[in-house]
Amino acid sequence: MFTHLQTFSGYSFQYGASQPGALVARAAELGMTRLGLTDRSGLYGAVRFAKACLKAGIAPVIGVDLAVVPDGWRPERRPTAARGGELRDPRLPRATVWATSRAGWGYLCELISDAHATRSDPMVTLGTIAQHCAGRDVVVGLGADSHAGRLLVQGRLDDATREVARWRDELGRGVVVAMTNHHTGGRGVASAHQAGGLLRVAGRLGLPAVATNMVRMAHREQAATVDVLDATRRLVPLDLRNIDRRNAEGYLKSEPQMRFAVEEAARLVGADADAVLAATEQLAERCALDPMADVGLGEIRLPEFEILGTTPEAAPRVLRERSIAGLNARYGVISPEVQDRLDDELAVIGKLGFESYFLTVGDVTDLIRGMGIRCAARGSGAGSLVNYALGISGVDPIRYGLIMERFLSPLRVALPDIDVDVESARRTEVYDRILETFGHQRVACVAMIETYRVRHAVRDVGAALSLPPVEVDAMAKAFPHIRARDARAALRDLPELRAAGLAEKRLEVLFDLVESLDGLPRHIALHPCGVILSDSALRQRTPVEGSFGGYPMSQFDKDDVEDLGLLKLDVLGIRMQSAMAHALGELERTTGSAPDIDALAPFDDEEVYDMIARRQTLGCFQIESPGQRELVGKFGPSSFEDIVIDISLFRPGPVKSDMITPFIDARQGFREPDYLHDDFRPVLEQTAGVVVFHEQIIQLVAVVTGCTLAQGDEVRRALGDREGQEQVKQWLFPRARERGYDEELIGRVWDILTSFASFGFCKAHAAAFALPTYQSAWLKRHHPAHFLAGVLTHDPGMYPKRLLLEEARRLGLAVLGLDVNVSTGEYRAEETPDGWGIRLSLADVKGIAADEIERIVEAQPFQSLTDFWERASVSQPTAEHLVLAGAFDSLYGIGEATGIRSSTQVTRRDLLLTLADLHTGTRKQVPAQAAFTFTEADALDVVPSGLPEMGDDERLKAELEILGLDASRHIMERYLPMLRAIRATSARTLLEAKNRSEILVAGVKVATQTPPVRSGRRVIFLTLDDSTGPVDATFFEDVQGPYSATVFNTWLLLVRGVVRRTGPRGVSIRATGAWDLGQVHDVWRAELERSGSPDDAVAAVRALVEEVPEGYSLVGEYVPPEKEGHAAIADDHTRAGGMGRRRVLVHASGFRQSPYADIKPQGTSAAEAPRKLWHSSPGSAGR
Amino acid sequence: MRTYHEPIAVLFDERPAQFIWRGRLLLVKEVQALSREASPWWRRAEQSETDLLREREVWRVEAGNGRLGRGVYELARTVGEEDWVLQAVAD
Repeated sequence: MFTHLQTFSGYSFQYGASQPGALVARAAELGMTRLGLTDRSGLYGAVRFAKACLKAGIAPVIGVDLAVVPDGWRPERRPTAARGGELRDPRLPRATVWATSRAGWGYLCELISDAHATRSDPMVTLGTIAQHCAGRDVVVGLGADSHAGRLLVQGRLDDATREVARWRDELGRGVVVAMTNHHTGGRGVASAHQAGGLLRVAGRLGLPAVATNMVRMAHREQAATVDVLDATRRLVPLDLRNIDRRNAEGYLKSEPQMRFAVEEAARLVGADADAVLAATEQLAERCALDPMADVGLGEIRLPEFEILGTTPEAAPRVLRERSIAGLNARYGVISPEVQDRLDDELAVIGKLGFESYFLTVGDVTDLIRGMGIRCAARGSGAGSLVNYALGISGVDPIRYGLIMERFLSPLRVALPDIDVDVESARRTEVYDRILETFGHQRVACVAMIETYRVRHAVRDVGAALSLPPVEVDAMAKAFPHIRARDARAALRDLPELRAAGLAEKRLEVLFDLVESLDGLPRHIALHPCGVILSDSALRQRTPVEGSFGGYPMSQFDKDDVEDLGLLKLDVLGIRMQSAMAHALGELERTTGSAPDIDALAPFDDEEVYDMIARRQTLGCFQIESPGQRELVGKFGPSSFEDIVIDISLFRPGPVKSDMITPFIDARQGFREPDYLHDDFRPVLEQTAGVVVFHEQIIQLVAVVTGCTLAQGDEVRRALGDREGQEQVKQWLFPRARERGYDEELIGRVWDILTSFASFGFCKAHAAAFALPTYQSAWLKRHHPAHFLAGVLTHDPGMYPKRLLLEEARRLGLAVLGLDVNVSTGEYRAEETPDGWGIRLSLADVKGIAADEIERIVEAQPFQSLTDFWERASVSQPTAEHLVLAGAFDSLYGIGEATGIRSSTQVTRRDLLLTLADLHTGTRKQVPAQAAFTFTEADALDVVPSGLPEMGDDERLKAELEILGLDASRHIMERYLPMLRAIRATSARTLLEAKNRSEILVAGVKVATQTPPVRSGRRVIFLTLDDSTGPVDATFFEDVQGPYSATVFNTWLLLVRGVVRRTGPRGVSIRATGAWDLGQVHDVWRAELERSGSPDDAVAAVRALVEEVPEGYSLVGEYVPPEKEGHAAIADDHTRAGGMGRRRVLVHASGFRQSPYADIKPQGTSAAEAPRKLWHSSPGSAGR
Repeated sequence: MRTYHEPIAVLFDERPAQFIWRGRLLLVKEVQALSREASPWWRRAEQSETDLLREREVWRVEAGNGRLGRGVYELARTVGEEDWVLQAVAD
């Protein structure tokens, strides 16, 4: 029997190489009955560990390993090393603190919180430890890495003894000495010699000595990973000086191996090895915790009733009264139906004892609204009438057929999830208010543990191996956002990675290590929305540290928090809510009043649905993606219920199982809805016979078997895996037969249940989403300038801002340029003689600082550039950017560049000259003779020098570089002459293209998506904007080999494809090639300039496009969907070829999916890169 | 201690049990010390298929046989391989 008391998991952050679960599994294999976890600086992995122990039947021993500041210690000041270097790790001595009981867990939490309280590097002193631990249910261990251990390494046995004695004097019997023998030879840390020394110290002081192995990995084979973690943690390359381990002994050893290590050390000093091993077991027994009773798994801990202004006895009554008051306000009269539903829900809440939960959440939403912040519930909570009554959710569950059981079930004693969406820009205000109201002792934010995925793993391993940073960066960016352990599978699967040379043999060690980092925690961050609301004992249940932004943050993540039964409220910052708030604010500012968009029920504005059906949904919540625009076009939602269905349909599940086509067919009357049986009609009618919602599954089960809705939800959950499906089948069939349904019908129902159970969508959640969807669409329809100003300011969507501006132009709104005298830090609606316009914001000027914006707005209006320079005091680059982006144009009457100009007209170039003088302080006194050209005396600062104005091209380039926007004109205009010459098709004329004809289209990349499709193949959807509208092209596997890299990494694209007509208004393009538009344009221009013949220029482009990519071939099982020939089919397979061996994920429902579907593709996202739009070619002819 | 560098054959079962040196069989009576040291694998990382875990280990054992009496020997090898070397003797 041996217990490993000192074990570091991956939750020590770049220190341990194994997951807690892997350590537990290995200990179980070795027949151990107890296992310790002592992560560095926190309990980050403790809940997972306790859970794994509970499952494996192992008793957890939980502690923490803390850095201890010795008396008189000063941080070493060294010159800054590369990337922060060793300064990152002061290598302080350490101590281990174990809890021996539930109370001990509480002291441990408080000690850890204290260690994190003041510094960014968590550390304690003996004094802090004594203050929290002396005489309490904790044990402190001093081991090989302690200050005493280090004194022993220096041969100072007496000093080491005195040091341990100092701890004993403070902590009494709560101190043990821990020896570790890693067989390192010599006299260093964890050598047999040092271990022997620790045994002597313990013997001299009469303290118990235990043995540990300072485990950093479950298996010896992970040693190289441990080295990479050491180097990464210290931000230095791998080198003997930078890694802690000398050999691979720090793994979970067996009992005989540990006995051997202890005996070697004991023999050196004549100590008794058996006594050490026995003491180890004694300590393990003392520290073994009960995962339920001590750690607190499976408890429920809600705020006390007192904080909610009530008592345990009065709470049910208070909740009922508040609910009834709310319902009176909502409905006016409470009908018997509503009354019954309320009684049912309150009974369930009462049975579960969750009154406090609902009152708490109700208080929080009241708090948020009281601050004037927009707030909407999301999630299954919208199915509860009590939530509607308390104002937590804004959708009437009775009117829209939402059921409570999906949210809260008497059969499940688990806290339900209520998510609250608030304005993203004001989220922290909400946090502050919650903290203030409920008190710091009850509130903490939830942590989010970021783990290694492939890109970070490649970066860190590459840096550790001292590979050139440029190469590492390119490698990391080449990968899509997949798990690190799939790195090599991706190298096999994705042609663009092989083409980049990443499958080379020399990189094998790199990818071995990359995969070994998979899923290891690398960083802790504030969860974007989770807030824990608990009782005043919260700080004895979780350690709390300061987040980057200064909020108290639990060391537990959302799963841990749930396992510990702490009330977690997700307060999500939603940019769309901020965008709508901004729109309403702008309406208030410009028209004096804002409409109440929370009172739009019953959501029946036909103009809104008409706009949606015309697919003009850019900027609208939930329905703006390319796929959604296609869906709303086909579907044509005409009621709030339709929006709920639309949102539910456009999910991976329904798309995967192809529920959309049958639904659209039935809905458009192409086929009769099939309800299977009249009994199911009430359930299925709403969706034309197609199962879309979780709620329908629940109700179907209830109808077929006669069970309750709560049981129905249990069945729905069980259907998620194959095992559960079998159990449900055994239960469901006999019951359905009893109720008189025939075998065939039951079989068909069963098929529906198994195929849709895991794919349906929660209707209540969709309904909650449908509310902001409708609100945003309504605002866009009736107040487009104000709405788009909000969207542009808070940027909630998936599209680059330039596309939103394009949308504004299409809607007939003026795009008003940057103007130092009018623009602010936000996009604003502005009334012009020709109607509403949108004024660009200063915030998008490259490099402008928030305080610069503030000073500019404060000092407006300005009389001149000089005036601006003096009063706004912005940096020189910012001022220059403002000039180049045209912010002074209206001040100086600078207009369009024309051939004929007055020589007295000031140009942007003149402004730049003046600015340079102002900057260097050499501005001469303005000559008086210039005065006659100006009416404003103060504008006598800039002298027209006769320099020509910037050309259209230059202006556009400046706009793109500085604002990331093509504000004055569409960037594609530049390419129009060529596109006309080569007869490219525009989005507007695409509908006229013949089926199966080959066409060329071009545009700015708006989005690339790799959605799940039924065949299990990766398909790339590319959306381009060519200024007349969006164009969608699809790249199937056969063309991905030679062209996917271009699609992912280029912003302006020329695409060749074959037209497929899908309906009267439906056209899709099956792409057969893609090129960088800028390069094609260079070829065209060069040929045009060389030969002067337009025909030759077109021929040059044609030749480029018709070139067969080298080594392009089809591999695998691909069968062309249509008969027409392909541009190129060669037989030899090279590294640039098509898809390699294909892996397919198979779901429980039998659905097949590509492992690269639905993940963020490689390259930078479309929204991030607009500044790169300007194509600069390296040394092409004619430039 | 005298140092050597002589390849030898060792019977190993979790620890050295016996070995033959200069034609004589020596039985291991007791293991006095073990040390292991990893090699800086990253210097070889570019050559693929290297064993990243390669370690040298040194066993200091007390060994002997009936005729010769006891001595202390240091036996070294690469962990997991049979490239044993006698590197020191104290008798």
